[in-house]
Amino acid sequence: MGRRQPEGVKVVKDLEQTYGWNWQRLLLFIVLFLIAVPWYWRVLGWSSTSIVVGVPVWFAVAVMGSITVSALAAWFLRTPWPAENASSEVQRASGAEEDNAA
Amino acid sequence: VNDQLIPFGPGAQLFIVLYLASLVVIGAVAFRARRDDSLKDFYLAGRGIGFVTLLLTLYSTQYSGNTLFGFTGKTYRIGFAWAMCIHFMTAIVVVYLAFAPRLHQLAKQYHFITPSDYLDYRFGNAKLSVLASIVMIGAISNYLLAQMMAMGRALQGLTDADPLHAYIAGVVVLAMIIVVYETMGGFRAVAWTDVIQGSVLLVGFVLLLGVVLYEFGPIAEATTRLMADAPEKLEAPDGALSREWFSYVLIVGIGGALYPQSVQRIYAARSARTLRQSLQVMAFLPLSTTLIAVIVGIYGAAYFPGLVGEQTDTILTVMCRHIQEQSLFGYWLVVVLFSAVLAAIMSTADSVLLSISSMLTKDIYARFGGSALDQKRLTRFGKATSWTLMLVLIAAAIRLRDTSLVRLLDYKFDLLVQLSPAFILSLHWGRMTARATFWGLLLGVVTAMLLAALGLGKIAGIHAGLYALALNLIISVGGSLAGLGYLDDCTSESKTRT
Repeated sequence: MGRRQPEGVKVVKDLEQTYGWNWQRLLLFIVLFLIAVPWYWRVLGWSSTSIVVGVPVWFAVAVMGSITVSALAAWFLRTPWPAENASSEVQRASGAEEDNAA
Repeated sequence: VNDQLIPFGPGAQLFIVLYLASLVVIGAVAFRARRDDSLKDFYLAGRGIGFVTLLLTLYSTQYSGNTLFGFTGKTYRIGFAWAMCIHFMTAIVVVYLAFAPRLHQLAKQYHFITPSDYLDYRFGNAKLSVLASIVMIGAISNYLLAQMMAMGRALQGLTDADPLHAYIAGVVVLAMIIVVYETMGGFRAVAWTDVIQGSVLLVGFVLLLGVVLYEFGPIAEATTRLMADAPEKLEAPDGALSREWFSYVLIVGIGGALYPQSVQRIYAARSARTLRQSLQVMAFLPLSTTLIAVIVGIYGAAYFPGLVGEQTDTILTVMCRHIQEQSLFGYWLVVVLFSAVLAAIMSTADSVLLSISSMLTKDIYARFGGSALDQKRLTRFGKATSWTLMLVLIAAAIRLRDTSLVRLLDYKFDLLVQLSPAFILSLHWGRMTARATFWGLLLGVVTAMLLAALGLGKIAGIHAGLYALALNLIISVGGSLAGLGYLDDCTSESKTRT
């Protein structure tokens, strides 16, 4: 007979079946933030006063990094979540409340 | 430089009055739209809200008056390096990815209303749930007070009336408007008014950028001026500032995602699809909000040098005054911008008020004193709580009108991040035990508060809350691995679950 387990183990196991966790994604975001935050600019001796499109180059890099993080997050969010099919069925059955009109 | 706006004339005042009246009308419409007198209908709009409403309520709740005044002011002080605010607001969406899908699914399945309902479900431990609620209430009550003081100050600058009287009138009138529409329509009213407020805020930011570009020319000229007059504001961050940058990304990214009012919006999303799509758009909103605030701050530093200390936070008002003086068109643009400021402050305040009311009612009162009350009476208690809280905060906002809350505001994230093991890690790690999580949270909060009390807001550029979070994680993860409370959790099934 197996050892008893806390209820939390079951809760998370159930969730894992629908929402797997992807460590590579987390790693990707960490790497992107490490590039986006210009901590290395002075370390590498690059000039802070080089200008591109009217702003310091390092600032442009930071903004581009942020745009990349946003785009990546949006890309990961393009795939429907497992619960979507189930919830849309529930909504069709019960009739959703129309409050977008506001 | 003049940091007072030209007082609004009758036409502009009428515009503001109509805007405020529309919020009360929405409250009345939301009242009529209610389905029943249950807590779920009052605090989460029943079956939930759709894409547009969710997106704009998330947006207007996340971005407060501080985004406009505080971020432009900070950029004015430190220059381009405040680009870190774009990163930390983007980080909030990244953190949502880590827990929102799972939390939303559980919320729909088990009908969560307050953030602590998840903890009840996951851990079945009343002490942990109550502690988490108290931490959240404490962290955001001060935030609400700050929004109310901002309301007073916003109106103070608009009239020729005695500043004290104008401040008091601003606090009282705007607070009353919020509490009226909130208690009439609950979450539905708050979310619907957020649609207007979020739209005004978005338009306001875009207009602000357009006006600044039109008035002062391309940003290259501002950068050239800064290079000559204040070259340090162009400097890439040094080691200390880089550490602070990473620290902000972590603390605001995690803390901002764990605002109780934001967690409740995850619950309130009508479907997983609605939430997913809203987050998709939210990922880009820092670019249309905080990036604009940084750019405007750069123009301020270039064209209006000389502000020092707390004055720097008025740079936006200084620029608006300048725009007002240029033409009638500029004057009316500032009227719209001012509406955006009011929208930012009020939309944050109403969401925080509703969230505190829900936690006091469901997590504290219903748990300890009102468990025998039916849903209708609990909802009535929640409304009474909102009124009482607002009256207390009105008195506090008037009494503390000359107090700077900036430092206290900083500490809310130090407290909110302590909730991350309980809310985020526990969704991914089943062996996490209630007792270890409780002690981790408690000692994390105590450490964060102690460091704050000692004036150690940041140590070596890292927020005190992150040191406290490290301790919190060591205790909650280490304790769980060591089996602290393991047997309790094996037998706690359905103790509080519904």
